[in-house]
Amino acid sequence: MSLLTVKDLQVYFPVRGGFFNRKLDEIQAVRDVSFSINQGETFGLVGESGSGKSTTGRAILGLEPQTGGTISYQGHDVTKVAKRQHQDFRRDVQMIFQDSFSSLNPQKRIASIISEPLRNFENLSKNDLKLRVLQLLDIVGLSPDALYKYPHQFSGGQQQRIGIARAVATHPKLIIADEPVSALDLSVQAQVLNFMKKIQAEFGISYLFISHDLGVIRHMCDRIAIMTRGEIVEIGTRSDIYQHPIHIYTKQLLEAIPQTDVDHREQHREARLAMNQKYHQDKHQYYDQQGRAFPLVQVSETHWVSLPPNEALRHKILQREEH
Amino acid sequence: MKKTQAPLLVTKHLKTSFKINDHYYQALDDVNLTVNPDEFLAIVGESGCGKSTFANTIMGLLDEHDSKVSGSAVFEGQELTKLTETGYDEIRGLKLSMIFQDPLSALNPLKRIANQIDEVMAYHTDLSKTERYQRVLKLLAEVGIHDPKRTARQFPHQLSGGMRQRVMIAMAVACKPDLIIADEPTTALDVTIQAQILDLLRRVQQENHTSIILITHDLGVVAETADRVAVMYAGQIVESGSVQQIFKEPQHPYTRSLLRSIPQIDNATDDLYVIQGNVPSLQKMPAAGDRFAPRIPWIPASAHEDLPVMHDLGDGHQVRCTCYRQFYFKEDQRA
Repeated sequence: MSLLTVKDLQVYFPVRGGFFNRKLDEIQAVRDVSFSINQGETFGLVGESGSGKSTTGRAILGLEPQTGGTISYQGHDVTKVAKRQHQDFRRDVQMIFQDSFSSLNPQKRIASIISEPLRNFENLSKNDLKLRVLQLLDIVGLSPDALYKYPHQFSGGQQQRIGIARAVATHPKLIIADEPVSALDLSVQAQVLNFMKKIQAEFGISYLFISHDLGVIRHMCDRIAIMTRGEIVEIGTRSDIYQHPIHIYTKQLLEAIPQTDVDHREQHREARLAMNQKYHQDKHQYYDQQGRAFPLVQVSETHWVSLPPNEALRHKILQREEH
Repeated sequence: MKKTQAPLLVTKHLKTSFKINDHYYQALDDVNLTVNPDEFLAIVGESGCGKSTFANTIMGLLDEHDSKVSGSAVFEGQELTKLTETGYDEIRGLKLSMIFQDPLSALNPLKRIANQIDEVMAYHTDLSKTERYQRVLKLLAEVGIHDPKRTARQFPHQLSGGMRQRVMIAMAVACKPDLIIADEPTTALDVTIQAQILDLLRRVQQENHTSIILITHDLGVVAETADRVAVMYAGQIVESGSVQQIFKEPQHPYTRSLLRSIPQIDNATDDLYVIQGNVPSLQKMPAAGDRFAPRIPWIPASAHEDLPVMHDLGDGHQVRCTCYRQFYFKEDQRA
């Protein structure tokens, strides 16, 4: 059974203006997004800026109001906020933010920041609380003297680790990580990613890993969903997406990743330009009249792609894939 | 490739210090760099390594009151470190120009795109107003903007991030400068847009025979675009060479460690390589010794030089300190 199932999630933002600040239009940030996350897996959500990936993550936690669709957690419907208390949803689902510094209260010491979720959900004595915080600091590799420091006294990587310590404090089952390493340098990024994998192995946590960095996603995720303009166009395992991409948008995105292979730079550039041309030529086949993606179609056990309902066209696209 | 010509920019022992609480701290130390005409050079390093300080030093953008520059930087026979503000006015935009990371804050929000690009040409050339406007439209078309007339009338906030960066590039190439410094030009952009902007930079460099110094932290970007690479760590260049030398035969422990910590296909499930410790802060920069030594403690102290200098390995490949000869990864030894 899956841990979290999101079905037809919609998040529309109203555009207000005019007389009495009426709703004039709406921006459809997330349109009918469905996916599920299994116990202990890392599910990646990839897309370019403005694709709605962060909004999806935030809507699951209730940080953005959702317009439609259902979210169920461990088989229980938690779409309505009132039901979340009951299902321990707030304790079990935590978040790591991109900008760790602005997500930590600058006026509070680390001890109080990390212990806040514990104080909310568990009834611990002062001493036990301190012990737990020390344990958490140890897990993320910070020394005990960090307890009485303030967030600004730490480097970016350390701040992100404090954010992780706070997120794992209540032994969550799912962590939503919104671009957790995109503000970090390469060597610090490696450190944080290793930590995230380590605590996953230790506590059996699932991640919803939101990122625009396809290299990081490949490293971290078991299953991946590609999002563009508020819709998912392809879902599959790591090898489905990276070795056998089918949707033209996925292909184009993968081709654009800079490679460190200096010997085949020209070939790579040509392949990218060719793909770009193909993208502009063929992209209309992959979207309907209104420019929306088609519903997802299952092409293998694990692989779902948005494909046109027209059988002939669909066949043509799949054929092309086999070459 | 052209025949050997006089280099465009030569820096020798360039040092930049910043004043913090009445104390000067060196952000840039002993930078020796040569940029040849028609060359694409990348400077790569992590945040705080001094790569942007280098750009600001060359462009003369530092505040004289709280910074100090020593050593020399000769650009087309002109000593930049001694140049006055009026001297800089004559070359900035004409011979030397810069592209910034964040085009929104680099562009004037109150001026239309056409007027902003026009400004450089009005200052440096004798073209008439209509000639300049024609050139603005031509430049915008060259940088891949589909409707130049429309964009020329617009304000920066009406453009997307990629479009703004194109406008910045149009502005930078307006007077066909000899050297463009691009400071993290694609960091704020999506991968598909990033690829387009890098292609554009590469094209501009080849068509106008401009040299480009690309400053970035992204090794993938470097591998895709640069001819030559300089790797910086803690204010110093630790290794420089051709893009092949740096990516295929990296020598300095820092370069080798960085390349190892990139998430790649072949290490998809393993842990990533982590460099121990942290980059030293400006105030705590060691005065002598190899600055990378504390991060590779398993290498004996005798392997390092007391005052590390650049060693020539031939074919333009240079590396700082002698420790590269004895360096190995701790993990490899165990295995």
